[in-house]
Amino acid sequence: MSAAHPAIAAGTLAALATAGRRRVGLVLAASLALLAGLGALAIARGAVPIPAGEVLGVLFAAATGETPEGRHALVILGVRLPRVLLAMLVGAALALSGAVMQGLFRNPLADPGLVGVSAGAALAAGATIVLGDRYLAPLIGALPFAILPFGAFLGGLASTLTLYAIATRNGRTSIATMLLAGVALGALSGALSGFLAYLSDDRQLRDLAFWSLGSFGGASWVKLAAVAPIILPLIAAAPFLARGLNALALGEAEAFHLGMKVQRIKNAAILLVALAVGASVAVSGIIGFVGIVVPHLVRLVLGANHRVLLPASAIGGATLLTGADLLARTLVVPAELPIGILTAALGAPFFLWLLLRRDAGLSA
Amino acid sequence: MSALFEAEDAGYAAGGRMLVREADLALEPGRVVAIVGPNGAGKTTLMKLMTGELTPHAGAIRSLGAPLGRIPAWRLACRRAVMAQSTRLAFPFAVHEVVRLGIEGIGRARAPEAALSLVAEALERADALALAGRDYQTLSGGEQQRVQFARALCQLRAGASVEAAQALFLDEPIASLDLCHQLALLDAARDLARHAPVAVLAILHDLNLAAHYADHLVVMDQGAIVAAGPPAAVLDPALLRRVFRVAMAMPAGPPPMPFVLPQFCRPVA
Repeated sequence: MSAAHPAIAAGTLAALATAGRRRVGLVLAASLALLAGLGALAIARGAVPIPAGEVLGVLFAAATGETPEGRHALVILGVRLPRVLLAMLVGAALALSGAVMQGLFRNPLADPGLVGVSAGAALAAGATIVLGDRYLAPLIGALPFAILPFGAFLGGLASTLTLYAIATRNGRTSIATMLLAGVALGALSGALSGFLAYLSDDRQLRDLAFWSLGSFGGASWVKLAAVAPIILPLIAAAPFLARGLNALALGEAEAFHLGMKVQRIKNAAILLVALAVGASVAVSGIIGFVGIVVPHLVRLVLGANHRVLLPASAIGGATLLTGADLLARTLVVPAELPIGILTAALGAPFFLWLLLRRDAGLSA
Repeated sequence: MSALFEAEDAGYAAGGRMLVREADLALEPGRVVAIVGPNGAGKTTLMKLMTGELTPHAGAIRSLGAPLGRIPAWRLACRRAVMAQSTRLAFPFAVHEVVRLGIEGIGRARAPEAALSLVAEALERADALALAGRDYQTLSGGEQQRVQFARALCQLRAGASVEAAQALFLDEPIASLDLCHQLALLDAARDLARHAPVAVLAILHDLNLAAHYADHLVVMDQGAIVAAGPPAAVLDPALLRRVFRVAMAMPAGPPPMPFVLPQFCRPVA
């Protein structure tokens, strides 16, 4: 139909593809540099400022197995480094889950918070705080706080599985039903959480609020060791979902026409989201909007191809939460802001802007 | 010798209604089959049954003798490509990425250059090469349809290394196209049937285009195939009047191309 020679056509496409790859490489390298820089800054800043030279010296010594010297070695290695690493890990997990869930639902507005995964995890955490404190504490002492992360994790997993069971009939998962059921389950979890708050005493109420607003205040190597074995393999495995999510963007029927095992892709995506969100909520409470904001920004800059989107979102999420936690620790020294307040304050207006822009885009 | 794709006495029910019943249809390489019929006649449902997207409640759908359910998705994808009525994307994929999806599902490792040349060739055949770098979401309906056609062509070419005989399913492929591109797309589909050779099944609304391009014309009404055969034999004014509720005139055109002229719409008697 067109007069162009096939060789010229392939050449044009090759140029497009090369330009795209170069752009992706540049942006990823820049993001990684930004992440490393922010990480170092986050270790240096805080209630006790530490000179950058000392931070690097201590990190280098620790990495090479020597005994680090310097007055602040304990602050750096015992407090700030695990906290920064945890923020990176949770940020990567949340942004990655957002990107995967949006691909699964074929909707750029989907988020683990939206389908009740986070709400279910928070409900379980609340139940552990209030009911566990009331009925279990006399029996087993201070256990509630030890089992809190575990409870949150189970809550996230349970709400995802419930959702999945409701939306699956005859071996096929209806994404539309899942979205609607998720909104309902999220509201139910919210109501039950509210009831728990009504039952709780002052101290429990403070714990609940702390949990529902999110914080890395309790970061430790133990927590890091608990979630890293869950989150790191998920980040490594996510690229294997990219091909399937790309095909799903055309629609479920189209993905099948293209030769994809659609149900298997959906199962894998749902499991990944449940594990990543459950683990994140377990160590840091609910931190909203990372899952929506980061993948959307990545799409604006690098396009929608999930092969790029998934790793880039993980890096972006890690960067965002490292930066947000730095602000949360330093804005009101010596107190701390819950990080969820910061991400919501930044994320909610962004979400509204997204809605406005989306409407404009669709009417075109 | 079993057909490349074959519906045998196939039926499909939804909401207590038979959307398709007792349908028999065979697709063979080299042949263009067109389905016509009023809205809700079951055309798309029959096509979804034959592509494996839906599983029949009665009868069977087979490909080369094997029930579709027994053929793995990737193998089926090598054997047939499908272009649905309209495909919207939720995310800003570039056009060349969309066309490339036709290769990805088949799961064959392919050198990037070879993949690119397949994509380029498909885009060119669908007259969509100029759109290659554009964001799919910003295209017009007709442009999107051309890109989806390119995607289907790309999938056929990629699958040809596995399957010798292939089928192309087109559900109202020209609904949003301008006249020139309507003819170009149907020409391309017929060329594939003649030279590749590929079996083509297309749902069309324009009776004259259907008659012109099809070797075998199928008329559906209320879930059933009411007539099938060479276009000249099937395009009978009395039948068309009954099925479409439109009075038709069939002027004695220059043979061998029959054509009909809708006169007026007539309420159901």
